[in-house]
Amino acid sequence: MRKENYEEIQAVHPSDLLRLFESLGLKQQLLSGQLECAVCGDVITADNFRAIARKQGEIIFCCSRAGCSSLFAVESAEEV
Amino acid sequence: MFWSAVLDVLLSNAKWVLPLLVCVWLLFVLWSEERTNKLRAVMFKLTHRLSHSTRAEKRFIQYDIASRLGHARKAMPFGKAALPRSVRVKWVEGGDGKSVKLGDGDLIVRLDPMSEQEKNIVLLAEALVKRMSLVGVRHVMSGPLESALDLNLVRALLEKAGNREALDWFLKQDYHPRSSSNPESKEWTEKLHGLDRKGLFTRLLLVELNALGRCLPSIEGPLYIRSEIHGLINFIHGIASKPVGADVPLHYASRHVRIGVVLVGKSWKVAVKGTVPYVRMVAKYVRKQVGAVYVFELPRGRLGYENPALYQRIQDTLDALPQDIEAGLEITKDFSLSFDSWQESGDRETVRLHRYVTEFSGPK
Repeated sequence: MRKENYEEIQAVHPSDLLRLFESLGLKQQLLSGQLECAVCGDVITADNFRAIARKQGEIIFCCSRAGCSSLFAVESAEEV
Repeated sequence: MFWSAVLDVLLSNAKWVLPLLVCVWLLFVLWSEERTNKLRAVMFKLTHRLSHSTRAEKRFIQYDIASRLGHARKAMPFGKAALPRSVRVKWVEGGDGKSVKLGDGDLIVRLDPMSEQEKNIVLLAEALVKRMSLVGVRHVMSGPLESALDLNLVRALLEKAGNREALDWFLKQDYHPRSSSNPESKEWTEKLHGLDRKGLFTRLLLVELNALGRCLPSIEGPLYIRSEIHGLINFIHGIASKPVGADVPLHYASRHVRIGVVLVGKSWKVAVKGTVPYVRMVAKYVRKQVGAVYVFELPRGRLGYENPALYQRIQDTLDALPQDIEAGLEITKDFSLSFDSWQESGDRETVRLHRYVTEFSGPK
């Protein structure tokens, strides 16, 4: 079997979400509604969280609206 | 005779038939990474059904995406170079003392449970398209055009991914809302979808945009290139929407994109004059220093039913066309492929395409 070249995308399962935020030291901010979507400005919750990235040292978030995640993916791709 | 002999051998060794078939099937599966991933996905889905294990669910999501997008990427007619790489999910978990490092430029996405796998497939298809396609030309494109190209490329990828729910979800939640967000986006999206229905989106436009992307470092600024790209799309759209018998420009020459198109259409012309007029037309393009020539062998309609002998004579002539073109000209065949194209009648018919490159192609 010929092995393919892959682009690796890091992903988190919904059941691991709080543990991920805990590891990043952001669990309290998530639960108290202090995090915002970098595209539309909506409050990020455990239910509507879609993506997290670090851009020029700053951690940014994206909600699960279709339009937001598309724009967010473009921005984060430019950083890679 | 041969098959009856094979059957005799199999029946006389009946106890070995099943193990042999299993071995052949396993070899068939292991030969392809996509098939192996599909088998893994099925096994983990079954495991999850029986055990409700989150670990099995995550493995199913991971392998199902790898299988579907890997297969779709290879099935896409992106010239001879498919999207260069596929995507693979790497799970991050955190907790239990595990540290998660988020470096500059790193991205972590939340995937949905396997009951909503269609959303995961769409998300990863979008990531694949944005990271792997149109390399070298994205920065010169206007926002609406870039968005329209991405939308149509994701749509084309999902059409090959074999998950109807993912395509429906994408069309409803993303494709239609984003394409109608402003008039310019709508116009580009419709135009590109029209090219895709004719089979010219991935096989001509994206091939030329990739070629342009490879020579961009040595050429001018975004606005000039942008107008070249717009001109190229309008040129291809003119061919795609050409009514039968109408004349449209078949030669596009901007500073960095120079292509010629040969349409092998009229049956009587092929039958009476053979390959000569088409070889001459390619030669004319070479003299004009185009970088690439596209030769389209258009469908013959009902000729195959109405006059099988003439149809066969035309097919034989067309089979000889690639050799005739290469024999007399300084030109190299890049790829040949057949594809289905939607005709004005609403029928889908097979078109054959050959792409040739000349000494004038590539970075200047």
